[in-house]
Amino acid sequence: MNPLDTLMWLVNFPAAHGYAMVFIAAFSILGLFAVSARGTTGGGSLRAVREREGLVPAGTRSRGSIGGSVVRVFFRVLAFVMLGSLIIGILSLTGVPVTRAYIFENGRPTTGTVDGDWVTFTAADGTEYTLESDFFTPAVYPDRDAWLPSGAPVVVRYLPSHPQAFVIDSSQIPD
Amino acid sequence: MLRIILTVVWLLLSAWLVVWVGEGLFGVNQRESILPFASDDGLGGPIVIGVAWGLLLTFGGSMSGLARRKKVRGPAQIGVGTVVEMSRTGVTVNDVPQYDLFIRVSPSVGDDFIGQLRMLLDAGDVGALQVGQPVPVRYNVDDPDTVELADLSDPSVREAMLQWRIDRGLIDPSQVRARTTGTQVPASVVEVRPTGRRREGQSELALKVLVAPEGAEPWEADTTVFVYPQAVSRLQVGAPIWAFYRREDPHTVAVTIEKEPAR
Repeated sequence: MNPLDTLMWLVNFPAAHGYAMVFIAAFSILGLFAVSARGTTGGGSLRAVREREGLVPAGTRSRGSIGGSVVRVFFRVLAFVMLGSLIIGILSLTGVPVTRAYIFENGRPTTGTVDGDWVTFTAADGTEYTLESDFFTPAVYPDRDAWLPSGAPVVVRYLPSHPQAFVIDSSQIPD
Repeated sequence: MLRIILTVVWLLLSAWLVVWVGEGLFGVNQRESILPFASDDGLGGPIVIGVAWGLLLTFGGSMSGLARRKKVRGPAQIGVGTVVEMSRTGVTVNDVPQYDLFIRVSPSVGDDFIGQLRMLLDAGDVGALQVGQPVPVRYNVDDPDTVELADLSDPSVREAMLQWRIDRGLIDPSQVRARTTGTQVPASVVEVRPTGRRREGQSELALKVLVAPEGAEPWEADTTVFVYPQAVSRLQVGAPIWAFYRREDPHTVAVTIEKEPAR
């Protein structure tokens, strides 16, 4: 289990779903950063005034602040993940092989078939995977725009530890 | 209620997206999805649901601050609070700025607490409200986060304020009968002298007043009154004030600065 493989498998998700990811990230990133900012969770200023005057109601102090900061940290992490997904999605949509090149270099080759957007191949452990190669972000490398005949066999390269990260080898497409 | 519905919807959408990501990362046959609305091309569902999720997060979250509840929940008591802090929220409506007022309330039973009041205040109102100033408030001890300003022209509010002063000893027990059931007549301050006693941020003055009912011979009476420091100047020698007395005991007098509407 190679850590770089795991990272590429995770990064490959926004790269493979670039079109949807760009929409999701663009519409949510503002809200995520707003929620993770201090003071927007209600009652922050009221708590500050109460602490200054020494009139914090018993029992609310620890619970309120710990819960609030956990939520804030969670949303801050999510916000940066979303920002990364937005960047990866845009790169992937514009044709940059963010993860494809790595998968191509380090993937294990096998043969698969293409049916529309769906690619079916059998991994070394015998499991048959049916995965999507999106129209907007096709999992095809090195020639992203290569035409794939539907139903024809193709060479697929996948990461052995995470076969969900795969590319179709466009250099070995039969003419 | 609306916020609860929006939260539930947002959580459902979050769950949908988590399952979608999970299927994308771990799914073996990703053509089959357990999710509703997952179309075969794999685009429509995630986009619509993700955008709805993001919009709910953005606007549901930022509007909860604006739509802060202003009403006191449950049965409200009337009391006196002092302004602890005033800060602008940054929002203006028709060029009238919105303020957060933090008010320290001393309930008739229990400990002091600080509540919040968010309201629009134009320049005149802001001048009239200052830190440390007492204001009549409506509050509920079980819901100390929110307080409302009480309307002093409401007779029940005046009654409660008077009761609050009596409970706190701000009206001398010997004057209570005159103050609550006596007749109100014009009077003037003849002598004023501080007694040195302070209570609830008010200081006590010993007064000699000339009680002058219309069409009757005036007489002098001694009394005491607790006033806020800001009001001391209105009790200088010669100042016109109002006095309450009972016919059977015209030398027990309670005074007020402003005339009280007839009960």
